[in-house]
Amino acid sequence: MIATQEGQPAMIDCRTAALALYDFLDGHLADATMASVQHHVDFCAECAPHFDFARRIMALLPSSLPIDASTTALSARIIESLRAEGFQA
Amino acid sequence: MPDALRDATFDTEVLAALPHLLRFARSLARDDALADDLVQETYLRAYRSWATFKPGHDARRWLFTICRNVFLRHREREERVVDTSGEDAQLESLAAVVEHASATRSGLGDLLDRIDVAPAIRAALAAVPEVYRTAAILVDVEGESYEGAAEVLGVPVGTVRSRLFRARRLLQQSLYTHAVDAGIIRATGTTESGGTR
Repeated sequence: MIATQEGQPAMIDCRTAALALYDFLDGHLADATMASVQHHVDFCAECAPHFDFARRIMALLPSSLPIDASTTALSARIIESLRAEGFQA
Repeated sequence: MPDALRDATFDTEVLAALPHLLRFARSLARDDALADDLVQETYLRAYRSWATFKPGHDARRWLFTICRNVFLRHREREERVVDTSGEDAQLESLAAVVEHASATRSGLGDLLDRIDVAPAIRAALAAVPEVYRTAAILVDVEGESYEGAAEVLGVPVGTVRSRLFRARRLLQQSLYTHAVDAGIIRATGTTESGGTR
């Protein structure tokens, strides 16, 4: 838990920010801690690119592994094998 | 439930998940033919167990669980022996600090704009050991919650978290290595001035 002072985000160092990287990106931190990490990243020239890099990789993952819509042949193969088990649909 | 209705429900609730299941299987197997076999076997097992499926339960999650079990049986010899003794969130976080220091020195800022990113990410992900890769696929690709992924993997939520964090860190590390190998980033941590892919 990172304490706040007078409603302002608490100051944290780069190590603390790095420890919180993925919990921060997943939004799994308490509000005060989220604010502190965000405040640090907003003003740290070293951490900002790394946080941005990690965030972008996570965002790019789903589109890097696209859904294959051409499952017709596999679907037919599966249904055929299911019919051998009594599947009627 | 009459057989025809039961099968119609299987069709709409379970077979409809085929594209997602195939993507999941491919990420596990890293081989399209094997992934097809895994998916077919998964559906056979799902159909045989369909009577035990609880209405309202997440069918896709159920399929992922079966698929991973089928895959593990196929692959008993190799990656199952991956050392997971470091599945401790604190240790993983400390490793992340080291990775962070390396990343901030290496000029990663615009790396993703300078590489053919989708193939690079696919290759990087394929290099991540299955035990960690699966956590990333479930959470970061399929959009499962930590709790949902824990259900599929049969592990505590904290283990999902540490596996996921390690997967992400290894993914970053692998992309970094890819960039170094491609001459985009120098291993010493400075960016090449002329490399564009």
